[in-house]
Amino acid sequence: MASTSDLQEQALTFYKNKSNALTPSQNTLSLITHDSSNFPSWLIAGILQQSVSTNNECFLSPNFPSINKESSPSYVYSFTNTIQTYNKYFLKYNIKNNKNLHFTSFINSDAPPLASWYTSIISEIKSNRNPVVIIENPELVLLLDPTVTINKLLSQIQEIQKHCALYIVSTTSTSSSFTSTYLPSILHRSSLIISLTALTTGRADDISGTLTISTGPIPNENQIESRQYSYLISNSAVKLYFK
Amino acid sequence: MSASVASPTVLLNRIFSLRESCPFILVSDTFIQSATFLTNELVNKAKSINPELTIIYLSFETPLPPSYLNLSKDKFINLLDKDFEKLINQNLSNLPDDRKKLIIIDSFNYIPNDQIVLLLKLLMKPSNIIYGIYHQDIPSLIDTNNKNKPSSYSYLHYLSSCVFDIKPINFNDADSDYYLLLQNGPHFPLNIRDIHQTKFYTELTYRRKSGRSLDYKFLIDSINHQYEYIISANPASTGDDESLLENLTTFNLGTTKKQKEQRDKVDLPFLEAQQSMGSVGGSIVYEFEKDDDYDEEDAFEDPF
Repeated sequence: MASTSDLQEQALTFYKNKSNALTPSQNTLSLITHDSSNFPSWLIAGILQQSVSTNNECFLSPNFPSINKESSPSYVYSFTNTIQTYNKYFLKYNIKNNKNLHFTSFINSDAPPLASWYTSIISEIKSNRNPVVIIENPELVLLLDPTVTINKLLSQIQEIQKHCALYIVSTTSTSSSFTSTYLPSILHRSSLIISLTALTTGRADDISGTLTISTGPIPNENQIESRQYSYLISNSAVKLYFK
Repeated sequence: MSASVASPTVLLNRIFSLRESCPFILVSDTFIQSATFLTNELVNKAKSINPELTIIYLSFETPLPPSYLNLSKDKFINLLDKDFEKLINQNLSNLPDDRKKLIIIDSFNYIPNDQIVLLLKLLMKPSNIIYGIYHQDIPSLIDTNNKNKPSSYSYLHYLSSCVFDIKPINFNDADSDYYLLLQNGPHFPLNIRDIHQTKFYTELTYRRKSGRSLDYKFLIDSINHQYEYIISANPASTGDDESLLENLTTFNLGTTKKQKEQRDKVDLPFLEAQQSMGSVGGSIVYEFEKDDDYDEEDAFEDPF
């Protein structure tokens, strides 16, 4: 069996149109799922890098043509992480001080109140042109605020989606009665499904996990490149290989 | 046109163009093969046959109106987490009753079990055709007051006149996620060959006015708009396979050749009666016999 050292490294792409390979259309919802052993901080950093760049640059797709594009205002809202999780990537890929990159953690002491989490997002993004919004684990609102029902949370996410290209990051590890309804409901609203899974055979030194890109139930004007990659995260880089 | 004489593909075309009598069309799907392509087929065909058709889109899932809606005459109403009774009354009460309307509901999963019938009651009118989607992979909202009530899908299935059950093209393959998804919910990684293909299967259950239901299976190509009727690969059991009865008991359950010949010679009265009576369809025909008492006077004649 070939090891990853024999394989050719590949560029990550979600769409067949290579000039905009990681950025979805406006008003669409893309879902990133992960389990407890493979949080996609590297993938989110790659999406943000391409989104704020003016020349299509992304460390996950190094061979893509350099084209002039508009930098999109990009927002990350997290219910599970602080900016510390991303600092290493933001510094390494030189986007830390980009004026179009904004990070808000709802677990910080200076975070907006939970009761108005989605109105604060909408007021922040709606005056922008083509914003990209990434929300990490919004399902935690169900546990943090008992007055929020699943339908209410979905309707809040839907309101945000009307103003941006939205990525939702959700875990597949929890199996409470809340999330068992939440995840399939979000899947039915997605145009693009990106799932990160651990190896079914256990841990390995040369593969960290599997990344699957697949079409969601909602049609998308950009054609999706359905594909599976194996990925390897090392101290120096993230490498992707076709599976 | 009677569904029994039409070919299944003709019936499917008639349902899509809203010419068949189907006041409530239910579509069940999963996220690996959603109803999106089927909805597009139905809307495009229905609009091409009835250009004046009004579409009312009741959305629980879609944030913005789909491209096929013409908002100058069609309506898009977002009902998620809102008072649907009030909004439906507000928006639909002004529409003329005589014009045909297609009401699309995406999807029934977000309506509590005890309010499903109320929603249908608000929408069911002679000029309305309801096309509703139900996602089989979203656990249903259980009515905590009465856990023994039928599920929402049971209600909907019972009330519908036509049911489409959508399945991915390779749902019977050993590595397909379809049955695992129905049993255990979504699991990852997804099988990318399964997901949202433009060709898919649909099982159609069509209920005739008599109550008899007809089941058909189709392969739908949503790119070329072609529908292929799939004839069941399993031959119907004739009940004559005597090899199944071998070694089951210490006595003989089989039939000899002579016994079979004699059985075939027996004239069954029911079959004979059907030769003349069957020619008039399902209606009740009274045949006058010589001993019947026939009253020539009209009992309902005006005596004056």
